[in-house]
Amino acid sequence: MELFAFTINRTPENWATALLAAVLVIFATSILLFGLSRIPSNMRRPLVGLFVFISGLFWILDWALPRSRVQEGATTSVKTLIPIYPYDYQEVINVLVNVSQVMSGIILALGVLSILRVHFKKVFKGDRDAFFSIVLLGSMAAMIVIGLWDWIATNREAVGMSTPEANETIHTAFSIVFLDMLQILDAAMFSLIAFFILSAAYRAFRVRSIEATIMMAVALIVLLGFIPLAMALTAGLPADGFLSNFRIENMKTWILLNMSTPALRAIDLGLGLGLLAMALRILLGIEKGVAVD
Amino acid sequence: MIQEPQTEKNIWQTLYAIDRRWLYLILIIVVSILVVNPITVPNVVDPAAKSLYDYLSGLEEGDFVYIESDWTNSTRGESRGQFEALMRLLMRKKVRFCISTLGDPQIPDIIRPIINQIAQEPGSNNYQEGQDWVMAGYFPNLEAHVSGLVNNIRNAVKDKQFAGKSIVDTPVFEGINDLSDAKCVVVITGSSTINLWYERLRAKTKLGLMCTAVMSGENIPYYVSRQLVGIVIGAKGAFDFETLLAEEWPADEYPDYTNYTSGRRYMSPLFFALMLLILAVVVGNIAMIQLKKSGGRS
Repeated sequence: MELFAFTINRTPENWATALLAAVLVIFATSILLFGLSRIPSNMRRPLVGLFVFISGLFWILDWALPRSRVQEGATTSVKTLIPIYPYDYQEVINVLVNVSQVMSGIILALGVLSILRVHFKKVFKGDRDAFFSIVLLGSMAAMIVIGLWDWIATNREAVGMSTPEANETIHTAFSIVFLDMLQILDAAMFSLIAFFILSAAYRAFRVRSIEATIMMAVALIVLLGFIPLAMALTAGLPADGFLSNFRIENMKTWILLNMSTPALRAIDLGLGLGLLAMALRILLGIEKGVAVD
Repeated sequence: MIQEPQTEKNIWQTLYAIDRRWLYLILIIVVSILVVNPITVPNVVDPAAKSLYDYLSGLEEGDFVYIESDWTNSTRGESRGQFEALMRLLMRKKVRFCISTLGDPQIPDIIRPIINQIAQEPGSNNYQEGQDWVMAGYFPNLEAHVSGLVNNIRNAVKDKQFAGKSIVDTPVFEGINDLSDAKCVVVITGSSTINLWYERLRAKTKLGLMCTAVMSGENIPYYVSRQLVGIVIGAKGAFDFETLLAEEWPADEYPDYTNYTSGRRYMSPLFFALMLLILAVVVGNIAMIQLKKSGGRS
């Protein structure tokens, strides 16, 4: 544990407590899961529905309950006080937030496990694409080991337990695999989109109908409105008065504010109402195929 | 085997269906030349970008800003310039900031070198991590993180550390007990993570957005409704921010200051790529019209 001595309060006693807590949590979760697996199948649906409803209710209450600023000595804090509940409701939410983060972390770990399972299977079965799986697993292992090692080294430097000179090798290794390889490959892959956009625009933007013509004209004006030199073309027009309406940037702004924005608001409103209805259906267990089936 | 007679394509038929590989070649030549030799293009600053700049520029020394940085290399061309310009402004104004990310676990490692590099520039007041700014790092659950920040900012980030102590115990969080103590939340994103802030932010804290150009349409309504104090859009937005930095700290008065970087550098390749796109669309349409007239389109 000396390796992680830079972390907060990670004394041997605390490590022991944390280990004991982890064992207890795993034990309690196992019992819970075992108990749940023994529940009659006709009871599972209402039970899961109840869990979903209660989980959703916490967040609805967090959203709906009024809150006020409370002065406590020198500090001011915002609290949600419920008359029948003697504590600040936000403390409940704080626990839920932490639980949610841990659960999301577990999901992330599940993703990693899934990748390992799929690709190890390919390697051991001698799949035709096993070479690519080996490359993926090797890269993943290298990135995890080097990344973790660099992170530990950096943190130890921050608390004076080590020096950058002593960790030069690992910093260089991290720089090569992350900054000089991963980042560059990542950016290069996404830059390919530019070629597809150009090719697609050339083929698709054809004035075959009145509607297509209007769409193309509007798109070109908005596009030109984002190009400084294009704006310079109409910069000779007066900044105020009737003629100012024909400046590229003003035409672009007018289109975005008076045509695009209302349309998007209408879409958002419809989407919002739909989501609200869907959320209610899920919370009340009416929606089939989600959570309770 | 019957040989079909070879017909010579006329100019309009050729322009109507240019092989995509020619388009790719022209694009790569144009962009490569301009990336290596960028041309300075004039700029007209967008009012929405100026609005965010003016608000942040008006902050006082010691004020606190919360930054949500959700961009990776997929949007580096646009987001990096925005991020760099924002860092320069906050450091020059001596505004404290905390950065977290929801988009991708690799983001802290992408942005940390950028921050450290800008902190060494003249005018950046030698910003120090743990003293002037802190990294809250990656949070896997988007909804829970934003809700947690809105409910109790200290609790939401208290487990994140710098130099062996919680970041909430650093001078950066001094006097920050609630998100409403922050003067602004700035979200730099290449995805829709800003939606969580629209939904959850209840405090009187201002919300600013730096997004990619493709996201501008869906976010402009929130600027019009004043839920956003300002919106910086794409590479042009980064260039706008840099232009405003140069206006506040002009080169003749502050010769050592770096105002223009990625925003201006990417502007000329972007500008010529867009012009090429417009040209390709126009040429394709002229060819189509000519072929229709002559009845030669097959």
